[in-house]
Amino acid sequence: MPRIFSIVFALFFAAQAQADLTIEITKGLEGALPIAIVPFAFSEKKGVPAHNVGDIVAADLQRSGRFKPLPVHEMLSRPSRGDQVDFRDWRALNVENLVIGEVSPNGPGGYLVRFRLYDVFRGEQITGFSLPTTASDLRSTAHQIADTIYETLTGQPGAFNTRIAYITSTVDLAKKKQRVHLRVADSDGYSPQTIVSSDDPLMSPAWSPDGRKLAYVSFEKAKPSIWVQEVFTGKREKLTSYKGINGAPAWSPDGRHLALTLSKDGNPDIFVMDIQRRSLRALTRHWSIDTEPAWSPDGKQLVFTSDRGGSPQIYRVPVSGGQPERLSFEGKYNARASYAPDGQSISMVTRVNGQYRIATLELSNGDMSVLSDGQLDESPSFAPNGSMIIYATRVKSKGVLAAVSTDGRVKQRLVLQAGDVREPAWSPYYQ
Amino acid sequence: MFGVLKRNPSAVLLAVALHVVIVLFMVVGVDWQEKPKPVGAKAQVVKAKIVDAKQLQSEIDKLKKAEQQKKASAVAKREAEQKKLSELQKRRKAEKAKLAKLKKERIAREKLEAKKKLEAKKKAVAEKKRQAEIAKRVAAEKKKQDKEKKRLADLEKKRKKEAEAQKAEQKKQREAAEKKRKAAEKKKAEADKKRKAEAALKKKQEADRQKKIAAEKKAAQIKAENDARQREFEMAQQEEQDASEKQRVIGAIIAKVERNWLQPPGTSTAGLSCTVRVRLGGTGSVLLVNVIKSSGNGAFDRSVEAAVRKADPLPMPTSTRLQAAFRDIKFVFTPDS
Amino acid sequence: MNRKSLAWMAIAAAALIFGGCSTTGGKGGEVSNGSQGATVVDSGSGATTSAANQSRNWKGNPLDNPDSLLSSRVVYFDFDKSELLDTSMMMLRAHAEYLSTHQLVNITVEGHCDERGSREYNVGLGERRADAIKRFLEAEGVSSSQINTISYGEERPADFGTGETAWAKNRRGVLVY
Repeated sequence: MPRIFSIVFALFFAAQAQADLTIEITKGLEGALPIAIVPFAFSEKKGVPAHNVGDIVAADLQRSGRFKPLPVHEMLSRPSRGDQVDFRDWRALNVENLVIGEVSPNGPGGYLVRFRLYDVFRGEQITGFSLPTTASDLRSTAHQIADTIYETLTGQPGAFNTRIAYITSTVDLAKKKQRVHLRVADSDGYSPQTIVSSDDPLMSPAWSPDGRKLAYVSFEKAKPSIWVQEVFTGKREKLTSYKGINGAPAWSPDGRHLALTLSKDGNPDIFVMDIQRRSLRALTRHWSIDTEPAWSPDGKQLVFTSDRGGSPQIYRVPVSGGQPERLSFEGKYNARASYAPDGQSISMVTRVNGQYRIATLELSNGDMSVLSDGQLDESPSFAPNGSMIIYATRVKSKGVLAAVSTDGRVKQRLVLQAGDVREPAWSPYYQ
Repeated sequence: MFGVLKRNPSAVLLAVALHVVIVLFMVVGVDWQEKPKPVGAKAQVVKAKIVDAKQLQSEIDKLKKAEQQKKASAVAKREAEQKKLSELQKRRKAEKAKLAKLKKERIAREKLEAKKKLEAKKKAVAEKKRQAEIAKRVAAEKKKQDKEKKRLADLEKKRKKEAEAQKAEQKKQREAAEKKRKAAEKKKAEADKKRKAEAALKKKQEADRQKKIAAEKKAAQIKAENDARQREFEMAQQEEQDASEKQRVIGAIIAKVERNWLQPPGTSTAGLSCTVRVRLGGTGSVLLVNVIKSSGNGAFDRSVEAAVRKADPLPMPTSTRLQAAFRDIKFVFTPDS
Repeated sequence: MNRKSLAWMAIAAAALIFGGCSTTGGKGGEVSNGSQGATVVDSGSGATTSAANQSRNWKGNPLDNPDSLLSSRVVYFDFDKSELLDTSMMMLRAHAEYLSTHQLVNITVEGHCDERGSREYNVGLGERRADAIKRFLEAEGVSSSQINTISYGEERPADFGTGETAWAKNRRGVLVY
């Protein structure tokens, strides 16, 4: 017996000399990826642009919750060109990825932005671009760089070069009056611009699929009506002003239709309007409140809120018509659904133990996950890459915007300005 | 005659009744016709009246006619009576014939009956005779059988006797043979015993000799085995140490690589798998890293490579003999969830 | 219980009853058989405001009479409900009476909600509340052409705070002349 044993062992070892030893690795560390983003250099001494592209990129990546930018003061060197890079400086800090860049003037009012992304431990460049831009577009270019880095390192598209629309209001408590504004800002909160201001309520901003128009509800002249306004020119037109409720406008993915809520026939129902022809078609006819329609990305289905079952729940109906099908079954209050960009899930407001929270519902199996933990969370809106949901919440009686990643791991608070902020709508990618 | 009555009472009764009826008819007679009415009661009373010749003539004609009619009717009546009579006669005849027939039949029947009876009687007699015959035969048969039986019994008795005699004879013979055999066996056994004893003795002597030789051999063998086992033991121990050292080093490698593996953030790594081949120097320094099986996700592959590079230098076994197995390693990165 | 305390209780009860009956003519005060001035004909609009005007005779637009039920314009609702509460009926009847006798007067009924729940759904709920008031008024004889409705959902709170006190104030219907 011992003889045989020893023979087998010898064979084993002999075999090992030729073949590889195979080792299985089954887990690693999860969490924010350390990354070094060196502040971008400016090639001239004068005329330094107001915004540092590197800082914007670092802020974007940090805000996503997926990256942990190295604090600048810990950097051992500050290269801005490839030949200045010594990988040892970065390996020593255990940083896997390095971003460097340079901005230089490029014609009157123009700039050229060059950046490179390196794999520190391999010691190689992964990607790099030169992007011509202008002073007014400098921030947008920085966001594009952040999107490129994000996608290269995570495999998923970024959503930094996007905007958000939102409603803000200031209250004069003495006069008991509110002044309301519809605003659009970059998704990092910079460069806000006012689209509409009013002493009467404004509600439900909705981006057109090309990102150039906003539909919204205005109560000007003491009547709710739906308006469509071009973001860049400010030109606007009134789309509906029927008797009763005109609300909850939602653009179809091809931009040719608007789903909306009208109560002109006696109670709130979902209608679909052909924008060009201004023709209306009723999609629901029920004595209950049917409102808050949202389109599926393939344009074939609408989800909406209805209390036909006794309390608000989410239903789905084919755009071509048919019997609505109930989707939400957990809890007594589910409302304000919107589709994720991949069409596989919806976000909604759900009430849990009297608290209103943001949740997602997986359409394939009905699994619901509650993502937020506030008391009065509302108006969830997906980022166009489907990774984050922005929503409105209240902190110490003040309305603020917050965002949460769809896997629930990353939570952010956005502080945009003084006053109440609510009803965020994340823009689509620009076309 | 009364026998007939007994045997065919209904026929007789019918015949008698018919006779009575006929007689009755003949005696009493039944008038099948209506009695003619007396003409006088309905005769016309001639009234004294002045009558003209025509009327008189017609009257006369009338009367004449009436006379004629009367005659005719009398004739008819007579004819009818005749007819009736002849009919009656006919019927009587028929009756008679019927009666005669019945009688005939009755006689025939009686004849048949008598015949039957006679036959039956004959049969019975014949039967009786037959039975007697049978009985006779049976008796004779019985006698014969008894005789036979007796004969057989005698025969049997004889046979038995003879058989017994034979048996006795055989027994005697057998016993004699038995005795002889036993004696022979005894002799044989004794001879065998003797022989065996001699053989045993010889064997014992041989065995003792062999034992001695074997003992000596064994002693030598044990010594040799002990030596060998000692050697093997040392070798196995060495191998065990090698194996556990190998395990330890593998564990250390896994721990260091896992510590340095930052999975791509925000990506679902479920189902992804990437294999890299790593060439190491003698002290564990990473000389070469190649992705030999991509996961299909560039960011994932990159993170895997970075993990291995960051883990440089990888732990190595202390003995150079074992290091050879660690110079060329395949890492398979397959996250659990 | 002995007779003495029983007697006291009886006296006390009587006092209460009669005390409550004394009409003060206050805003929304109990109207009972003890009131004076039950019928006042208003010269301006020819209306009979039997339910109001106890202690003073009001000359002028009854809508402006601070003592009449008509000066109360807000009806409250329970959470998530659009049913009229019993306490609202009397006031609404006063308005119904006024409107049915002043057929040239139009009102707008506003429906409001507290801030809980999604905003557009609350616009629908506010409309239900406004409609409930409108239907009640119509049942009391008001012509539907006199009543407009509008829902503001949670967009126009009466109280900008958070919590049940503020919320109760915001769940309301408002009659706007």
